[in-house]
Amino acid sequence: MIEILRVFLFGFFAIFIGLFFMGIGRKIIARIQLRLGPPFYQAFLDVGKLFSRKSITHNFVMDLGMVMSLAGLVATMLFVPIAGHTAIKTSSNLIVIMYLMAIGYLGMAMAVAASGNPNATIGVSRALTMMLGYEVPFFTVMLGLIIINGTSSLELIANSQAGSILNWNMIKFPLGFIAAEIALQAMMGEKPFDAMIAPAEIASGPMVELSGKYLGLAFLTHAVSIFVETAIIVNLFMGGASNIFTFVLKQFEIYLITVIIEAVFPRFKIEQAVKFLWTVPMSIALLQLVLIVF
Amino acid sequence: MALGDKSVYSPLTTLKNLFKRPMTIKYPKEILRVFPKEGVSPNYRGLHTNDLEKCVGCAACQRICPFDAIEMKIIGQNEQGRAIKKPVVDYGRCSFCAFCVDVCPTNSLKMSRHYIYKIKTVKSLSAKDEVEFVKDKFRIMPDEKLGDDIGYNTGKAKKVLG
Amino acid sequence: MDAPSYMLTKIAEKDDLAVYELFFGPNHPGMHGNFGYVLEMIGTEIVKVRPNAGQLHRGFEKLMEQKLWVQNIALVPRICVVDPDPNEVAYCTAIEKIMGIEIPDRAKFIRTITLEMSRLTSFLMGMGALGAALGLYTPMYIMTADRDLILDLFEWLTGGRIYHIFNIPGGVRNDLPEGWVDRLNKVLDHLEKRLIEYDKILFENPIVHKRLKGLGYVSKEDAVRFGLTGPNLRASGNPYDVRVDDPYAAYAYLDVKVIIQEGGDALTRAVQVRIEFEETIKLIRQALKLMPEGEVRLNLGNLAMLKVPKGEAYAKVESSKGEFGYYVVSDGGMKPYRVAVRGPSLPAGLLLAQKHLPKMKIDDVAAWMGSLAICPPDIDK
Repeated sequence: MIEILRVFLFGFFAIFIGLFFMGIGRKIIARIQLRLGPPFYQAFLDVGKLFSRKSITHNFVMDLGMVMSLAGLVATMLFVPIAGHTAIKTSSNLIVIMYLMAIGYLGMAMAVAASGNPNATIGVSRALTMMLGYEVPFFTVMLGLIIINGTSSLELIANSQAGSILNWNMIKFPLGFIAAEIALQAMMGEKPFDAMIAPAEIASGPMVELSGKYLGLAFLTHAVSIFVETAIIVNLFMGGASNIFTFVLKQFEIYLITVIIEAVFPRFKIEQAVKFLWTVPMSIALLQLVLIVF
Repeated sequence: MALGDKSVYSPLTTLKNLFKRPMTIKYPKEILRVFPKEGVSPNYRGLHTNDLEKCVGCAACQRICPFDAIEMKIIGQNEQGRAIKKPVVDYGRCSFCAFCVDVCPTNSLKMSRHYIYKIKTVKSLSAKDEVEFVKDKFRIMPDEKLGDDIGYNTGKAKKVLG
Repeated sequence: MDAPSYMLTKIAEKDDLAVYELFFGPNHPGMHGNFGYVLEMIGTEIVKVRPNAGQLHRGFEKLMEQKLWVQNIALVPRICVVDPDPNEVAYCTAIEKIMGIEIPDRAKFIRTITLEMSRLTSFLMGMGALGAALGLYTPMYIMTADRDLILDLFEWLTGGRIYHIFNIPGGVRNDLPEGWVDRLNKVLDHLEKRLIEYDKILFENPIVHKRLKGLGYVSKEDAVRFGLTGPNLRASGNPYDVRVDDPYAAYAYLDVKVIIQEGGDALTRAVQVRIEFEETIKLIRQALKLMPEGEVRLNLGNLAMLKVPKGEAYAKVESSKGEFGYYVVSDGGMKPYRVAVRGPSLPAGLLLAQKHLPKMKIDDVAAWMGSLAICPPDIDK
């Protein structure tokens, strides 16, 4: 019973922090654009409003896909250590995390394919192509870290960086950090890698057919994905944290970089994005790998 | 000219906007003062105002109105038994071009700086009745009510159209 | 276009079910205005395009025959929302040409200044929209805020923010208010300072270069053949500007610099707008310096009863998107006999689209439209 409660608590915590980050991110982008912007709790209001709305569904597969995409990410979240706490303890969670993260997108792809809108289909095919793009450099960076630590457990990697700030992988392997940061930008689907959403091109892609509660679910999915992805980077490169507050603060620093890049760069076309991801971050990551191995 | 150059760092300089004052304001709480007068511009083309004493009911405004928004309403009879007419503006059609103000021979018709006009719709009405209701509410006979804040007017002698 | 995707398209063309229709507009975030393209697509590649115009058709040309000469002035600015002044000036100039009258010099200068201000607002909107089409919203928001400063000036001068309805046959409706010129100078200073920031965020952005380079290439001959005008024509290397070649208003007194660039792709067109924006600020400064004193309006009697003598005239005005032309025929009556409008977006929006959009990816459609500054209302006039 306690175990189940614990799992729920982790899920709600991730959603809460994710939405909170989204709200602050919108505020920061607004200030860069010389606007006052919405209040920081706007994302909560949005989700609340969306869940109170009537919504249109096409068929059962669409419902299933939406829930699967949220559930996949929440499941990923359970394996991520948050300031020493993990919902489900395993010895090599990094690999599990990377596998489970794909489920989010696959669920979205299923929901969207069921809706039958060409804009949405193009959008989700772009999202899956983008996944192909960012996973290669990200896995390369991860491989380096796994080799040097001799383990694929996120906790152990985080613990190995304990002590002073100089022990952080961010300082020890700056090249790997840069490559992972670029890959993270694509992972979160922020500009310049937001070709899957692209309002001006494909009318918001996967979101075009979603209304009411489904859009609310997509919001929550995005919130959890923000939490999970920043948490992975914090564990890999910033040494985790001893308490939850420091952990969230570190996550926010990572998210801040993402938001700032999002505000000042336009989007790549999908083929340009994949080409970029396979050349620039990939070569940086490979260089790092070579430096680690030899 | 340095145009056509590109640099990854150039866009990042925009981040200094974070420390600048935003250009937007919280509207109902604070209001920007842009013009010499408080509020909208001194010769703003807002809702009409009409000095009913001065208005002779010549219907010049009705004839010039490009969108047929003005009609003359008979409000009574004078001593000779002739109808007294005053303009009624249909704000559903009005484009606020102010030609009626320009053309007014007595200068009685002016535009005020008020631009907010709100009505309460009655929810119990059927859709068709509601349309009629709103249509009716949009037809207003301009009078001196908004005369405290005159916007666009042609002054004493300066008439624009003839 | 890289070979593999083209080959896939070639194979798929044989399959009937591979081709699907995608409505790009009128209800699409990438489309500005009530206009649309019906795209026949294979995958993400366009094979055929059908412009879906007419959503905004209000019958301007026919409507103008039903109204008095002066009433039409409230109607014409609606042909182009972002740049309404050229319409008014072109229509009034055509009437003045038929009547054979010369408006006072001060009126000419005021017309010039409002035209150039209108050009600034339109350029700001255009550059912002191009950024937004690429997903870069920051310049759009900043430019919209800056555009508002010019709209404030318009509101002060004319009483309206968007549709100024300011020019009438024989001049303009009122003189510049007190303190207006100082404010205009301040706004111009502000815009000049901001221009550096626009450069940094938009025109020096490497990804903007990557997206726009080589997109929608128009050769020097094609630009003339398709009838492109304005910045689009000059970006293809054709030195043509109505302000210089056939001056109207006060442009004969001013030193207008015609900027031409070779290149003809979307990036060149974007940079062209950027350079002309700078020139426009200089031009307003010049006009303010040379502005004479005097009347702003000829007394033509009661304009409501205006009768234009029998005759016809064509007046053209260089708007921010190209040449706006009004062909006005009068039979000597109270109303125009015929008014024909030449809009600058028609050649690009309808004709060039047929050439450029096929074989383009859907990614580029919005950016292509933004770079050509297509303003749909004047297609549907």
